[in-house]
Amino acid sequence: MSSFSPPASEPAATSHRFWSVDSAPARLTQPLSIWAAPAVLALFTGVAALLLLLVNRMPALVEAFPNHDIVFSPYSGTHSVPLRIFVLSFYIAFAAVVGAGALARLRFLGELIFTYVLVCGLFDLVNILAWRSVGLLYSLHVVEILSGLIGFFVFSLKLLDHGSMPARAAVPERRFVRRFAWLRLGVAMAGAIAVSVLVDGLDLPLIRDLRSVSLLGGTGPGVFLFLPALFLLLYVWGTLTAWLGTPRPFTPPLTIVIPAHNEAHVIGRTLAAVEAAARRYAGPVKVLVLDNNSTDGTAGATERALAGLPLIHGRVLDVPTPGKAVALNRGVAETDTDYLIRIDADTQVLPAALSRAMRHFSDPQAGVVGGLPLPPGGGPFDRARLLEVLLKHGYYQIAYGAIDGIVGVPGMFAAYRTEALRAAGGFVQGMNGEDTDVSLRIGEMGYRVIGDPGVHYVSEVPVTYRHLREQRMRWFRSVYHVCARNRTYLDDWRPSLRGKAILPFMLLNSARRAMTVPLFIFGLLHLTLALDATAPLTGQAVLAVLLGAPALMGAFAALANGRIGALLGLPEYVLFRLLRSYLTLESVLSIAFAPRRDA
Amino acid sequence: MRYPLWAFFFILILPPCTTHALLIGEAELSAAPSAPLAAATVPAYWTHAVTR
Repeated sequence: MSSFSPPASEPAATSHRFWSVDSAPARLTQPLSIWAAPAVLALFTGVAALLLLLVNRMPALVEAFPNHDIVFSPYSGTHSVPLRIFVLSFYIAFAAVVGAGALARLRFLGELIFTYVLVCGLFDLVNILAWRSVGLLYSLHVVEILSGLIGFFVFSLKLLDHGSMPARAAVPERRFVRRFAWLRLGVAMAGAIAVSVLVDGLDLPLIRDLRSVSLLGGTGPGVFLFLPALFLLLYVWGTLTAWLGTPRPFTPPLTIVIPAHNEAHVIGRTLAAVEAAARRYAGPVKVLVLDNNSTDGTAGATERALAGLPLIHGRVLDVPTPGKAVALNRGVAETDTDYLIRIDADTQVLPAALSRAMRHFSDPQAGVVGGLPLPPGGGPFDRARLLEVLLKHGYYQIAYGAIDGIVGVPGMFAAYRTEALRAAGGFVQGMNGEDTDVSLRIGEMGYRVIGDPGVHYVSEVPVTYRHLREQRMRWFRSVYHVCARNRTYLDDWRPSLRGKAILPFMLLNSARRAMTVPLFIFGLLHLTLALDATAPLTGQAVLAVLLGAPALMGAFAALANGRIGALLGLPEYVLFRLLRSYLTLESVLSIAFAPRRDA
Repeated sequence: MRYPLWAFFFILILPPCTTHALLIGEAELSAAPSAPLAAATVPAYWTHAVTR
């Protein structure tokens, strides 16, 4: 039935349980050799080394660029990481390897370089004018950091333009107005500036070193201290808001929709967990299992499991057309309750999950509720995944919630107001990120999108590198697919916080993640080529930020969520983040390239 | 006319970064361009252009 063929580099992929049509949507992705990313890194190393040596050794260039980078702004200070050279080196290496014809690659590279040079040139011109008019002078650190941010943003925008992306979709009409989101963000940013200025006033040597290379660490883009302080303030704000506004119990009839493709080995446990949760839930619970093109007897296993579960009213529907979104939309069509929860077939909800999630819908403006996907434990990536989850869903999601800025609620467990789900258009087919897409659209309709870290469920974590790679490539591509489909939120004139701040930030962050491993290599190059007297300091600072900053953030998230034991996974988590960055690079390389079109 | 995506950088990134940089001494405001010339490290061609 499926027309999807696995890529040449994965000859036995269809025999893997985790591979499906959603792994690499047709037309939007291309087969990716396992050597593509290493080729990018090798080419990048050569180009960057050459450019660094030219700028530091060729007399004409040394005289023209005493900053050891291609900077035209006036600036103070003499040293920083030459991020413009880094960005240009990455662009050249990426464009040389990306899967497109020679002409398309040249065009892509040309646009990348032209746009980057243009924006940096405009930035430099603005700096020159500002210097001449009001005497504004940045340090070279700030010029380089901002140049890096420009480079990340250009990369993501050009990928959106040149990559094969979902077509722009019409956006649903807004139903509610969520007030003061921008004001809350402004207040938090002002507070973050104040906090970071206060800490900076302590003038600790470590802070100075880390700030000079702050782009390279897991704290993300922006001036070091500012961004962590911003998220901390928002997290505190979000937590206090949740404590003060604890919703009342709410137990209406609900339907649990479970798309299942070859899940005979786990569906019984999943349904038993739903039964246990239904015992703690006062309302009636229906279950719809959508058997999506299974070949392992999933339907039979489901029927047998349901026969032994008296509390939930379940049935199996056959959905022969492959695709998770296809199955989900069938489930939405068959749902006759006002509330619907979708879970993956391998998600084990914990007993309090249903009652805790549903209470949020006592607010008539609540549209989507998500929770905390806990790893089962025991797998090679589980300890790292736990810290990742605690940081993403137990910290950042709370922070985004404080400004009504949550974009994605993962489909492993997501509760919806059925009417809002239908009005948003249901689950999009043929692209990655159907869960993020629908929660974004429901949020932009004005409904509240809620992340409650007290809603617990256990979700499978890949146990092989191959499965992890497949999963992450789907997840990391989804940012681009979701932004392309919902480009209206980014480029129309409504003052949407998600469209004008959160989604662009996600694009910038995605590019930063794709460039983290090259940046690590760049730091090592800077150290080993010993191009200036302070290179050892820069190299040490690079490593300190790459290793230390993610560990600090992970530790904080573990403590904030009361999971002291998770601290044992910190070393694995730091390495996992590097692996994740590598897989982000692979995911963007897997984006197919299409002829230019007007979006 | 569509909303320019670059507004994200020039409105949401640049002003807070500039404010922050000014407050922590990573940027400065001086009275006149010639005054910071001695303190600033500028590319040779820029120096040449300014002093022409």
